[in-house]
Amino acid sequence: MQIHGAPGVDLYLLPTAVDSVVTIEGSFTTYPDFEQGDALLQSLTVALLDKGTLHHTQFEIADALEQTGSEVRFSSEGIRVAFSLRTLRARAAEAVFILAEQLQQPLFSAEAFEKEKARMAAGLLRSQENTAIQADAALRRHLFSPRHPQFVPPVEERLAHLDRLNEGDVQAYYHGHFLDGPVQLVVVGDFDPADFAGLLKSHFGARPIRTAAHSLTAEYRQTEPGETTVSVPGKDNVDVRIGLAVPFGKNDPEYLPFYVGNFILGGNFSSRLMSAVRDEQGLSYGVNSAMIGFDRRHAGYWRTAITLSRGNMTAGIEATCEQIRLLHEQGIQEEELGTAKTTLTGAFQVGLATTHGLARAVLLNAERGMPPQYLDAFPERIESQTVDSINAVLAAHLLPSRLFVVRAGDI
Amino acid sequence: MAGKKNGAPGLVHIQTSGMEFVRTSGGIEEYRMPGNGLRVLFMEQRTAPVAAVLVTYRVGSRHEGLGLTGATHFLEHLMFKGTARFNKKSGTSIFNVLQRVGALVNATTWFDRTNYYELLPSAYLDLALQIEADRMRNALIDPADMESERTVILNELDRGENEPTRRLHHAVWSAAFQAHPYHHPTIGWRSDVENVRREVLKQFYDTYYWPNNATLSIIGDADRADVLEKVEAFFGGIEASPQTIPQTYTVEPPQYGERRIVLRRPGLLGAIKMAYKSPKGSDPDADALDLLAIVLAWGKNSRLYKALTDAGLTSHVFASNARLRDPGLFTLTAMLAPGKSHAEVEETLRTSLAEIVQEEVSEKELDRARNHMIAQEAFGRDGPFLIAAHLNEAIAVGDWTLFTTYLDRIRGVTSDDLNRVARTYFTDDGLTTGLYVPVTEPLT
Repeated sequence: MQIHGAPGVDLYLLPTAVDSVVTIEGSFTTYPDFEQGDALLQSLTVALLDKGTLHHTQFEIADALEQTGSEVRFSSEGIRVAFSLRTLRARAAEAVFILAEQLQQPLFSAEAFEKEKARMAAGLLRSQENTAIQADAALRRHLFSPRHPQFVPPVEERLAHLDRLNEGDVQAYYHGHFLDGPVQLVVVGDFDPADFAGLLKSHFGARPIRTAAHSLTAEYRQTEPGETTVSVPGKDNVDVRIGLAVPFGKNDPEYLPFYVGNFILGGNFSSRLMSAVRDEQGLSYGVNSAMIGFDRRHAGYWRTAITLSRGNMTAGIEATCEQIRLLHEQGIQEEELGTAKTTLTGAFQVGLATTHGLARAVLLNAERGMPPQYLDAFPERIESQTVDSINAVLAAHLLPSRLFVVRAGDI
Repeated sequence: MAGKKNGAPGLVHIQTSGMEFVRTSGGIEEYRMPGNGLRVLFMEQRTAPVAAVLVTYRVGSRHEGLGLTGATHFLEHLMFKGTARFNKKSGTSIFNVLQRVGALVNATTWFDRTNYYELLPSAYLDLALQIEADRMRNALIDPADMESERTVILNELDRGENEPTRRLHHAVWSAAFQAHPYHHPTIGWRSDVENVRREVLKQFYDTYYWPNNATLSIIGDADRADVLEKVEAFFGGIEASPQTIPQTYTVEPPQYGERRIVLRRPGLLGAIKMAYKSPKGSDPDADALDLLAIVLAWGKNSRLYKALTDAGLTSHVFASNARLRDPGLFTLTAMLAPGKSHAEVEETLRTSLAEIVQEEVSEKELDRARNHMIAQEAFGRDGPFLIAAHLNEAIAVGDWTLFTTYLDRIRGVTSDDLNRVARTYFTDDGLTTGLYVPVTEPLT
């Protein structure tokens, strides 16, 4: 892999043997003020990036991309804005030109602004019918303060906030938060690294980098145990979330032991939860556990997600909580850890089999502030985990007495 | 294993003692095991040290009769409960054995096929082949396993029914097909899933799970001779089916007028699905319909994005040409924006369709659609699993080379073809329209 540091851009270039395909993944930090509702404003700003630039209408840009088969996507991801480009080698230079123009010279027209507001309102309304989204949001509302990136305001609040936003808010947010610092860019696939280094530096490297004007206040708060129900009429399947906030970030020493312990509990089809709740008791089509929203700058949360038909709801929640309790009290076994180690290191290798998988892994590693060698050493870091280190972290942080339970469905 | 040259000039094909070379297309080679009829597709792709193994059985929900709906899917679940050799009681469950080496493992069921797959480090290719060979004829289909899995599937069914678009999809397909088994959802009707017996599933397994009804695709970091030798070692001992594999012979009668269905459920926003009868997936007209789907609804320059989404009538609009073994449906799905009526969205949809029937599709629109397809084809070869997945769908339609010859066929489609195909298939006589109508008061 070639690494190029230049003012305004950190480049990671990794040519592979794939034919014709070039994948670019990138991101930059924005530090929204979550307490002021900037998460919504950032989403709206991001949605407008592909609605025209100072030089081209959205249809001209779409035409240029569509005529080359290229695909550009932008997304709002907490304290970052991310983007991706998938294109063919022969058309990569023009696609990069368009991507750079979209990111650096967006138009934010009044017409596009109003249309995007309406589309976003439709999306929020539709999300009220989605039990999984509603269960996630209710859990995150309980676990975090409004200052935290993982906090999700109620839909009604977001609709009202959206209604109050105007075009000037988007302009101000863009100029105040976008592209302040370096862009992290990863290119994987069929390309010439020398050509691409020059191309990307010329498009992304010639920007003034401002001193960071923003910071993040995202303190951990201990979860108050309890439960709540979100009523979603007409939904016979109930989505359940059981979770709690966790006090460490992605680069803290507790992260990896907790990650492996969680994987044993609910990381795949062979996990304890799937084995007990689905395979043996037949209570659920899908149950898993995951660590979500962690960053090097802030902590995230841990949760299990279960899908349950109404008649099995109580039994399914009890069976899941029992597995959490057992893990907390008894910890993992040596044999389980051995299996988890080979599973995770093998899956790591499999996950790098596509340009997208490879580019995403390199980008996430860069966002953590780690050199590429850190990613290469993932198998060794997994191998170094011990039963004692994992059980100590689980005993300290996976606390059954602190769990908050959310049910969403026609209950 | 002794090898000899075969096939096209310049290509070297190793013919093992037990495998017959059949043909090659688009870098993929087809072999046949003469003793049992198993088809094998192989492609070497060494972009990463991984390999994909995918078994396609030519059995799907199109083979299910009344009372048996969902049987193919139910059986797919039970195939993971294992065999005498690979099972949970012995500590060798299929998921566990494969996932502990890092494999991505799963299976899917659809109208015309069922498939099982592994994407795993290539060093463990043997393991995937061993398991797939074993469960081809040795699945336990244990009664106790069946009961615990029944409630799992019922929850899967409930989960799917939570989605308004899924409900609308099932309602429209059921209305459009009255005789052909595409009428029923692949997951089955609830009462069939609740009541199907073990003997029925065992009979289904013994009818369709044979090497002569399967294609094994192996793509990735692997050597041809080595792969063929392993396939022969693991699958060579399995006999062909004692009886001819039964085929579905029901043909959907012609439709002589528009059908309309209304689905009223609690909710906030509506949707419309317009579905036209389309040709079978191997018909050349299906290529033109694929392009029409792009012209109509993919990207900001598509006709329906401009007429509906950019105009504020919908939040999303999609077009899809279902390429199946038998004639299927070309569908347009529109998700209504708040405050917009079904009537105004439907009228705009019909106007756009009338335009594409009456007026020529421009060369620019055709180029846009073609270039999209060309790029998608390249993206579809990014990693071994995607290639295997594309082959799986082509096999289901009836010919795996439908995947490898796709770009050449797409390049040959003209704007005249698009207009002719639009006139042929976008007719009210072959139309089924479904309205998803949200109601805010409780339903009685």
